[in-house]
Amino acid sequence: MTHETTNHESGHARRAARRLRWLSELGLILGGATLIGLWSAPLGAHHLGLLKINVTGPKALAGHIYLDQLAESVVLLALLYGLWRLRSLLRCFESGDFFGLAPVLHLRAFALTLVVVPALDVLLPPLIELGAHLGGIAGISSMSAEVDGSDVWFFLVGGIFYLIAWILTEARRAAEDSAQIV
Amino acid sequence: MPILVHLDVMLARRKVTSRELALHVGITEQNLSLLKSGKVRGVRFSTLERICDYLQCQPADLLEYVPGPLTSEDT
Repeated sequence: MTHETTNHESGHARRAARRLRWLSELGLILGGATLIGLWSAPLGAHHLGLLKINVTGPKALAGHIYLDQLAESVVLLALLYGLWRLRSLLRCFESGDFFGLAPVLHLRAFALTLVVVPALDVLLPPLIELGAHLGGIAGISSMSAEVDGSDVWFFLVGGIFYLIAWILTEARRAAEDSAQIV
Repeated sequence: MPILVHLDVMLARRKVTSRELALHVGITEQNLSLLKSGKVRGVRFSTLERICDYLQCQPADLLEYVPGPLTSEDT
Protein backbone atom coordinates (compact mmCIF):
# COMPACT_ATOMS: atom_id res chain seq x y z
CA MET A 1 0.00 0.00 0.00
CA THR A 2 2.80 2.38 0.97
CA HIS A 3 4.68 1.37 -2.17
CA GLU A 4 1.58 2.06 -4.27
CA THR A 5 1.14 5.46 -2.62
CA THR A 6 4.81 6.28 -3.25
CA ASN A 7 4.48 5.24 -6.91
CA HIS A 8 1.31 7.32 -7.24
CA GLU A 9 3.01 10.38 -5.71
CA SER A 10 6.08 9.82 -7.88
CA GLY A 11 3.86 9.67 -10.98
CA HIS A 12 2.14 12.89 -9.90
CA ALA A 13 5.51 14.61 -9.42
CA ARG A 14 6.69 13.40 -12.84
CA ARG A 15 3.61 14.77 -14.55
CA ALA A 16 4.00 18.12 -12.76
CA ALA A 17 7.68 18.18 -13.77
CA ARG A 18 6.71 17.56 -17.42
CA ARG A 19 4.25 20.48 -17.42
CA LEU A 20 6.84 22.76 -15.79
CA ARG A 21 9.41 21.62 -18.38
CA TRP A 22 7.07 22.72 -21.16
CA LEU A 23 6.87 26.13 -19.48
CA SER A 24 10.64 26.34 -19.17
CA GLU A 25 10.99 25.41 -22.87
CA LEU A 26 8.52 28.15 -23.76
CA GLY A 27 10.64 30.53 -21.69
CA LEU A 28 13.75 29.39 -23.57
CA ILE A 29 12.09 29.98 -26.94
CA LEU A 30 10.83 33.43 -25.91
CA GLY A 31 14.18 34.34 -24.36
CA GLY A 32 16.03 33.21 -27.48
CA ALA A 33 13.65 35.16 -29.71
CA THR A 34 14.10 38.24 -27.54
CA LEU A 35 17.88 37.91 -27.78
CA ILE A 36 17.68 37.70 -31.57
CA GLY A 37 15.20 40.58 -31.65
CA LEU A 38 17.47 42.63 -29.41
CA TRP A 39 20.30 42.54 -31.94
CA SER A 40 18.20 42.71 -35.09
CA ALA A 41 16.27 45.77 -33.92
CA PRO A 42 16.89 48.47 -31.32
CA LEU A 43 15.44 48.28 -27.83
CA GLY A 44 11.73 48.76 -27.60
CA ALA A 45 8.73 46.73 -28.71
CA HIS A 46 9.29 43.52 -30.70
CA HIS A 47 6.46 41.76 -32.48
CA LEU A 48 6.79 37.96 -32.60
CA GLY A 49 3.63 36.82 -34.33
CA LEU A 50 0.84 37.42 -31.86
CA LEU A 51 3.29 38.31 -29.12
CA LYS A 52 4.63 41.75 -28.38
CA ILE A 53 7.77 41.83 -26.27
CA ASN A 54 8.88 45.14 -24.88
CA VAL A 55 12.56 45.27 -24.04
CA THR A 56 13.84 48.19 -22.03
CA GLY A 57 17.47 48.73 -21.18
CA PRO A 58 18.94 50.27 -18.03
CA LYS A 59 18.31 54.01 -17.76
CA ALA A 60 21.98 54.58 -17.02
CA LEU A 61 22.87 53.50 -20.56
CA ALA A 62 20.02 55.30 -22.32
CA GLY A 63 21.24 56.86 -25.53
CA HIS A 64 24.01 54.29 -26.02
CA ILE A 65 22.20 51.61 -27.99
CA TYR A 66 25.04 49.11 -28.37
CA LEU A 67 26.11 49.36 -24.71
CA ASP A 68 22.47 49.01 -23.77
CA GLN A 69 22.11 45.92 -25.97
CA LEU A 70 25.31 44.46 -24.56
CA ALA A 71 24.09 44.82 -20.96
CA GLU A 72 20.69 43.34 -21.79
CA SER A 73 22.23 40.47 -23.78
CA VAL A 74 24.52 39.41 -20.94
CA VAL A 75 21.60 39.35 -18.48
CA LEU A 76 19.43 37.49 -21.01
CA LEU A 77 22.15 34.91 -21.68
CA ALA A 78 22.51 34.27 -17.94
CA LEU A 79 18.74 33.93 -17.68
CA LEU A 80 18.66 31.50 -20.64
CA TYR A 81 21.42 29.41 -19.05
CA GLY A 82 19.40 29.27 -15.83
CA LEU A 83 16.29 28.21 -17.77
CA TRP A 84 18.31 25.52 -19.57
CA ARG A 85 19.53 24.11 -16.23
CA LEU A 86 15.95 24.27 -14.89
CA ARG A 87 14.79 22.31 -17.95
CA SER A 88 17.53 19.71 -17.31
CA LEU A 89 16.47 19.51 -13.65
CA LEU A 90 12.85 18.91 -14.64
CA ARG A 91 13.93 16.24 -17.14
CA CYS A 92 15.72 14.44 -14.29
CA PHE A 93 12.51 14.60 -12.21
CA GLU A 94 10.52 13.28 -15.19
CA SER A 95 12.80 10.25 -15.45
CA GLY A 96 12.28 9.55 -11.73
CA ASP A 97 15.71 10.82 -10.61
CA PHE A 98 14.70 13.04 -7.68
CA PHE A 99 17.67 12.77 -5.30
CA GLY A 100 20.59 11.83 -7.57
CA LEU A 101 23.70 13.91 -8.10
CA ALA A 102 22.57 15.32 -11.48
CA PRO A 103 19.35 17.03 -10.23
CA VAL A 104 21.19 18.51 -7.25
CA LEU A 105 23.84 19.98 -9.56
CA HIS A 106 21.15 21.36 -11.93
CA LEU A 107 19.26 22.90 -8.99
CA ARG A 108 22.46 24.48 -7.69
CA ALA A 109 23.31 25.95 -11.10
CA PHE A 110 19.74 27.26 -11.51
CA ALA A 111 19.84 28.82 -8.03
CA LEU A 112 23.20 30.39 -8.77
CA THR A 113 21.74 31.93 -11.93
CA LEU A 114 18.87 33.40 -9.90
CA VAL A 115 21.48 35.05 -7.68
CA VAL A 116 23.74 36.14 -10.54
CA VAL A 117 21.00 37.61 -12.81
CA PRO A 118 19.89 40.41 -10.42
CA ALA A 119 23.51 41.06 -9.49
CA LEU A 120 24.35 41.45 -13.20
CA ASP A 121 21.26 43.58 -13.69
CA VAL A 122 22.43 45.97 -10.99
CA LEU A 123 26.20 45.91 -11.45
CA LEU A 124 26.63 45.52 -15.21
CA PRO A 125 25.45 49.00 -16.33
CA PRO A 126 27.88 50.88 -14.04
CA LEU A 127 30.68 48.49 -15.03
CA ILE A 128 29.94 49.02 -18.72
CA GLU A 129 29.78 52.78 -18.06
CA LEU A 130 33.18 52.59 -16.37
CA GLY A 131 34.60 50.59 -19.28
CA ALA A 132 33.11 53.04 -21.77
CA HIS A 133 34.45 56.01 -19.80
CA LEU A 134 37.94 54.48 -19.66
CA GLY A 135 37.63 53.62 -23.35
CA GLY A 136 36.91 57.24 -24.10
CA ILE A 137 33.36 56.83 -25.40
CA ALA A 138 31.85 60.30 -25.52
CA GLY A 139 28.84 61.18 -23.38
CA ILE A 140 29.54 58.89 -20.43
CA SER A 141 31.03 60.69 -17.50
CA SER A 142 29.28 59.16 -14.48
CA MET A 143 28.32 55.77 -13.06
CA SER A 144 24.93 54.86 -11.67
CA ALA A 145 23.22 51.66 -10.54
CA GLU A 146 19.50 50.88 -10.25
CA VAL A 147 18.05 48.39 -7.76
CA ASP A 148 14.36 47.53 -7.83
CA GLY A 149 12.16 45.23 -5.78
CA SER A 150 12.22 42.38 -8.29
CA ASP A 151 16.05 42.27 -8.15
CA VAL A 152 15.91 41.84 -4.38
CA TRP A 153 13.23 39.11 -4.68
CA PHE A 154 15.20 37.26 -7.37
CA PHE A 155 18.28 37.42 -5.16
CA LEU A 156 16.44 36.14 -2.07
CA VAL A 157 14.66 33.31 -3.91
CA GLY A 158 17.92 32.32 -5.62
CA GLY A 159 19.69 32.33 -2.26
CA ILE A 160 17.03 30.08 -0.74
CA PHE A 161 17.20 27.67 -3.71
CA TYR A 162 20.98 27.60 -3.38
CA LEU A 163 20.66 26.81 0.33
CA ILE A 164 18.22 23.97 -0.46
CA ALA A 165 20.63 22.59 -3.09
CA TRP A 166 23.45 22.73 -0.54
CA ILE A 167 21.31 20.91 2.07
CA LEU A 168 20.47 18.24 -0.55
CA THR A 169 24.18 17.81 -1.30
CA GLU A 170 24.91 17.33 2.40
CA ALA A 171 21.96 14.93 2.78
CA ARG A 172 23.28 12.93 -0.16
CA ARG A 173 26.73 12.76 1.42
CA ALA A 174 25.18 11.60 4.73
CA ALA A 175 23.20 8.91 2.88
CA GLU A 176 26.37 7.71 1.11
CA ASP A 177 28.20 7.59 4.47
CA SER A 178 25.33 5.65 5.99
CA ALA A 179 25.43 3.17 3.10
CA GLN A 180 29.07 2.47 3.95
CA ILE A 181 28.17 1.39 7.49
CA VAL A 182 27.27 -2.30 7.59
CA MET B 1 44.48 1.38 8.39
CA PRO B 2 44.87 1.19 12.23
CA ILE B 3 41.82 -1.11 12.69
CA LEU B 4 42.30 -4.58 11.24
CA VAL B 5 39.35 -6.91 10.65
CA HIS B 6 40.01 -10.61 11.25
CA LEU B 7 36.62 -11.84 10.17
CA ASP B 8 38.03 -14.10 7.45
CA VAL B 9 40.28 -15.81 10.04
CA MET B 10 37.34 -16.39 12.38
CA LEU B 11 35.21 -17.71 9.50
CA ALA B 12 37.93 -20.21 8.63
CA ARG B 13 38.33 -21.28 12.28
CA ARG B 14 34.63 -21.90 12.68
CA LYS B 15 34.34 -23.43 9.18
CA VAL B 16 31.52 -21.05 8.32
CA THR B 17 30.99 -19.68 4.80
CA SER B 18 30.44 -16.00 4.08
CA ARG B 19 27.05 -16.86 2.61
CA GLU B 20 25.86 -18.56 5.84
CA LEU B 21 27.06 -15.67 8.00
CA ALA B 22 25.56 -13.04 5.70
CA LEU B 23 22.21 -14.86 5.85
CA HIS B 24 22.30 -15.02 9.67
CA VAL B 25 23.38 -11.40 10.11
CA GLY B 26 20.96 -10.08 7.51
CA ILE B 27 23.44 -8.24 5.28
CA THR B 28 24.42 -8.91 1.69
CA GLU B 29 27.43 -11.07 0.83
CA GLN B 30 28.85 -8.02 -0.93
CA ASN B 31 28.70 -5.97 2.29
CA LEU B 32 30.20 -8.84 4.26
CA SER B 33 33.03 -9.00 1.75
CA LEU B 34 33.60 -5.23 2.17
CA LEU B 35 33.62 -5.72 5.96
CA LYS B 36 36.16 -8.57 5.66
CA SER B 37 38.47 -6.37 3.62
CA GLY B 38 37.98 -3.43 6.00
CA LYS B 39 36.54 -1.23 3.24
CA VAL B 40 33.64 0.13 5.32
CA ARG B 41 33.25 3.32 7.33
CA GLY B 42 31.73 1.57 10.32
CA VAL B 43 30.01 -1.47 11.78
CA ARG B 44 26.66 -1.29 13.58
CA PHE B 45 26.57 -2.80 17.09
CA SER B 46 23.63 -4.94 15.95
CA THR B 47 25.74 -6.38 13.08
CA LEU B 48 28.65 -7.03 15.43
CA GLU B 49 26.32 -8.67 17.93
CA ARG B 50 24.92 -11.06 15.31
CA ILE B 51 28.37 -11.93 13.97
CA CYS B 52 29.65 -12.66 17.50
CA ASP B 53 26.51 -14.69 18.22
CA TYR B 54 26.89 -16.87 15.12
CA LEU B 55 30.67 -17.32 15.35
CA GLN B 56 30.61 -17.65 19.16
CA CYS B 57 33.38 -15.11 19.63
CA GLN B 58 34.11 -11.68 21.12
CA PRO B 59 34.41 -8.39 19.19
CA ALA B 60 38.11 -8.38 20.09
CA ASP B 61 38.50 -11.63 18.14
CA LEU B 62 37.30 -9.82 15.03
CA LEU B 63 38.89 -6.38 15.39
CA GLU B 64 42.43 -5.33 16.22
CA TYR B 65 43.91 -1.88 16.70
CA VAL B 66 47.37 -1.41 15.19
CA PRO B 67 49.02 1.96 15.96
CA GLY B 68 49.68 3.91 12.80
CA PRO B 69 48.68 7.03 10.88
CA LEU B 70 45.07 8.03 11.48
CA THR B 71 42.60 7.30 8.72
CA SER B 72 41.35 10.60 7.27
CA GLU B 73 37.58 11.02 7.44
CA ASP B 74 35.70 12.71 4.53
CA THR B 75 38.14 11.95 1.76
